[in-house]
Amino acid sequence: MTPAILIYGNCQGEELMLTGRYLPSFQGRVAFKWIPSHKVSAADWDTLYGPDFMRDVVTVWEQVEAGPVSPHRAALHRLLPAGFPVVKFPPLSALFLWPFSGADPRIAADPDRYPWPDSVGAVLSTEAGDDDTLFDRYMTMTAERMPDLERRLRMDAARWRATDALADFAMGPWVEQNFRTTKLFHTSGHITAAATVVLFKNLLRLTHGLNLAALAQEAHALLRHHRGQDFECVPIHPLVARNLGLTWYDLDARYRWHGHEWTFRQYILHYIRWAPYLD
Amino acid sequence: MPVSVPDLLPLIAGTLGIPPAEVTEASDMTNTRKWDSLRQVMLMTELETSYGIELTDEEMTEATSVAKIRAVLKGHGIG
Repeated sequence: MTPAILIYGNCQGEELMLTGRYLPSFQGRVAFKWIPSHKVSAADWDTLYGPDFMRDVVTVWEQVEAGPVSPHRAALHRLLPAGFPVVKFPPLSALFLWPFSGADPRIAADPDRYPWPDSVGAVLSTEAGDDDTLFDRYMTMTAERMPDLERRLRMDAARWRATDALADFAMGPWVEQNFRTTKLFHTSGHITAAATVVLFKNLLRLTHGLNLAALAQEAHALLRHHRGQDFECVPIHPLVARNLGLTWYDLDARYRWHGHEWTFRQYILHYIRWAPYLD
Repeated sequence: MPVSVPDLLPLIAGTLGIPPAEVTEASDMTNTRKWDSLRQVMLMTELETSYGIELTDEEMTEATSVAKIRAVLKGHGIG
């Protein structure tokens, strides 16, 4: 029986699982499983994640969260015998790069179309106008409403410190050191390969008994051109990039949105109009 | 443009991405779907934008329920 690492976490946990499954040297040596912390239901603990599911699990990679222990996390902990190997890792998120993340009532009714809210886009969704007019309005309103981004960064950094303190290793300082020179986030909650690799290597380093740490270099090499969680890439506002000094930013870049590649302008216009994109 | 205080519940729902009916005066981080630490920050910055105020770090940390948000807004002369 191949020993398995169980990852408990949000979609970043899924990305780690897929990364582990992708690497050739891990084949037959260690398997990866994932419990989606943001989707698991109470019934799942009886039907999906019972003793059979846990039989081959030798280590748990547990994504921590701030606040009280949720019922699902408690259910996970009940599955683990005392002293069971657990490596705790922090979630990665970055609201400061998308400072207009806020209220958009359309998301509740249609949560999957554009799940990353833009409050200015929501305001403009009630206005009429052609593409040029709407985009100009968006750029004007966002320039007027642009918050203090360094303050927003400090707010995110405070959240990172809180979750880093619960984990076995910190990621916040690394994010702060690198976000200006390397793209680390595709959305406020989805990470690029650069962030995935660092997260993955830290987890390997702290996973004992499976001789995985030596494989970290392979992970680094093979994931060099991997794109991470890129199925939805929300473009960063040019003013945000300029104000924060994002050296990797390309004003003319195209961003993947499922089967499409859009510029910042195209994405914003689709978002304002809540335009379908699957046909 | 500042929104009126009666619009607070829809604003919270819109930021959390849940139907307005799911947010009541009794809602807080522990009993409301999707109201996690990430959305808490998003909600606080949305309050700042919508009401034209700047919250302190302490207010952002403590305003984890509808009742506490109303109290914070009142402290800023709103409501």
